[in-house]
Amino acid sequence: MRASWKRNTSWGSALTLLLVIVVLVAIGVLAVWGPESIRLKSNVTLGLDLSGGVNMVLQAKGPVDDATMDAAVEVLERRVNPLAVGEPVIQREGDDRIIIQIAGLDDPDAAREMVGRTAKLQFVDEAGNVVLEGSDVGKAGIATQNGVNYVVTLELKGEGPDKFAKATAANQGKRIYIMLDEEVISAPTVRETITGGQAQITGDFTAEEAQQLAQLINGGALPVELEVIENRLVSATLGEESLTQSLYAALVGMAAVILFLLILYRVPGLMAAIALTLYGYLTIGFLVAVNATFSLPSIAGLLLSVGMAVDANVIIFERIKEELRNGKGLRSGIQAGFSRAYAAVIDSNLTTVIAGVILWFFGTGPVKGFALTMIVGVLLSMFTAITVTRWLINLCVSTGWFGKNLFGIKEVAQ
Amino acid sequence: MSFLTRINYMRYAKQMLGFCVVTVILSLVAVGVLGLNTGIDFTGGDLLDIQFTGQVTSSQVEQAAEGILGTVPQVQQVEAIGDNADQVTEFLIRTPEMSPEVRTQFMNAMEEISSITVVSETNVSATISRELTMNALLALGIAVLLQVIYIWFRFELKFGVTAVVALVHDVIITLGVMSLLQIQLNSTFVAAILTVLGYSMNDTIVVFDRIRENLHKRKKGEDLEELATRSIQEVITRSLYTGVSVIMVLIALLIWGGATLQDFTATLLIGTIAGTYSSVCVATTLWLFWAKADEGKKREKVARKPARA
Repeated sequence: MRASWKRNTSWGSALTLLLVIVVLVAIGVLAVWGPESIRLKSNVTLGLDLSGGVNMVLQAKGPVDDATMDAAVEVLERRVNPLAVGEPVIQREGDDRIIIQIAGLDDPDAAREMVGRTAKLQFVDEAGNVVLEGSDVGKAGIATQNGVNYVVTLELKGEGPDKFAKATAANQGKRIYIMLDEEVISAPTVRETITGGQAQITGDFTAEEAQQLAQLINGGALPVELEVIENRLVSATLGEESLTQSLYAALVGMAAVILFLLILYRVPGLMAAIALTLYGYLTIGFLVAVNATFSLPSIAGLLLSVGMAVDANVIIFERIKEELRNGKGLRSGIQAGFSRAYAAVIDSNLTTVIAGVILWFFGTGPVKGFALTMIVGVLLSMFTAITVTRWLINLCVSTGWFGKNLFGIKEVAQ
Repeated sequence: MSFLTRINYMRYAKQMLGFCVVTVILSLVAVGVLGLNTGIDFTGGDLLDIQFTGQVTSSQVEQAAEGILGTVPQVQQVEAIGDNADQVTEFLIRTPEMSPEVRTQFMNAMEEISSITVVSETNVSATISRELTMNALLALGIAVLLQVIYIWFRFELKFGVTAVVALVHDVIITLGVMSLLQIQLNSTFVAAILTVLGYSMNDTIVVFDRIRENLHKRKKGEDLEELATRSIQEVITRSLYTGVSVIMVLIALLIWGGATLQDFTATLLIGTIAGTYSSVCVATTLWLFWAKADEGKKREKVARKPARA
């Protein structure tokens, strides 16, 4: 009776183990070669260092309020959108900064020009008072005057027509200076009060010059001058190169670690490798689910947490060996090994998490990504190393195929 | 590996500590004399990775750049990447911060040498670099402080303080070797150092955990030195295995991870090695001296008490 019971459990456990391996391999195969929609590659957001693109930090010159910064973001969006291949990111950071991220943009000058052109438009009276601002201007176009001279026409919006009417009424016979980025581009004399909400910039323009000026104004006058304080551009070529290289390095690193585990621990090593694979899936799955960006540092963070995961397994296995050597039986040795190793595993992992959390708080961009993958990785690795490996090892024991030799300890008759 | 579990580690406590003190002093001297190779993230400035069509020499680039900047920038030829890598020459050029106007002139001067493709470009202003440095120091300080508190809470103060001394050792050794090899410090350096701290703390805690456990079941009269040695013997295999697997991953990254990650990985590698041996050579030895001194005091007290009574 007893023998047949034992044989039954043995096959059940072996089958479960086999099933786990098959499922894990299947997930891996599907993630790499499966249908487009579930393929990992089409679901991850790559950082600019891997996809190529521009990352800029702009800072407002002088004091600004929230509304001005929001307006500046809007203007930048209008300017950047035609340049971007994918969805550009334009967002405020802190009180007076704006971050622009444009994936796939390879031309280092295009983005700079977009931002560099502040195109601050102002109408100033002779006394130096600003009577009309860029934000009052709706749309600029070009027209010809007497069929010879080109002029830029401005349609005013909001309070613009009102302001302009007042200004022209107050400045009869005087000049109003039209200034772009502090430069006078036209200084017409006011002859009559203009109420229609239409203004013109006259000057010695050719058709092209007028067109350019109109576009510049249409692109939106930035309400505040912005300075590029950080600019990082990575070409698509370099991004692709980095991606291939880091994935290759990750594969080699993982393979080396798994081989090392197999050589050191044989069957338990294989179980640890299975748990590691699951750990990898869980971490990547979590990061994809929260839509985290995969940058070079985050791949490095992922690999390092693999180191931590291996560490937990090594601590546990060495402990089990010790317990077995001290004369404990297989099952009780495994149990004691796991429970005695908990303190070391938890304490050592939590200090790493502390370092990770600090990094996450203080870091920006890629460093934050690194911190996130490290925190998630370490926490999940604790789970897989403790829970999953334990379950797998117990399955191995249940097959009835192994004695203490499972951990390379010679059975000693007691 | 079994010889490792038989070494009488703490017999050599003084020598180990002495070795570490000497290497720390040498590292400080290296940093003082050679300085650190700080990247533009810390100093501000522009770093350009440019491909020139055809064969171009670095002196050509230097001359053209000097014409615009007035000073000779750092120019370093690197292995070209991309599909037409064999038809181009690639250089890393590091300049002081350039205004948009100067930058345009600079790019035009480069374009005059031969047609160029920008592989990557990084400009960091002095504002950002100052912030980064401040944030880095702050992050390091807070991380270390929190770790001491955690260990104090989970173990006792002696463990916390000696573990942190080991961390300081790791940071100084890492900086020293980086200074010797002139490895560049950039924004990922902070991430690397914090990771090293996390790892080193991890490693130290595994040893301390065993000492803590052995202290609980300490037999009467067992010498602290013997206890510390036994604890190390019991965990040394694990330290070695884990150290080797982490170092294997790092070496894989260093060799195949590409140029972008090289400085980061190198920093990690140095720090990890230092962090692995400092658990025994610095943290445990210091703990032992401290604990012995404490015990000596207690014994004195106990010895004095009956005399007074």
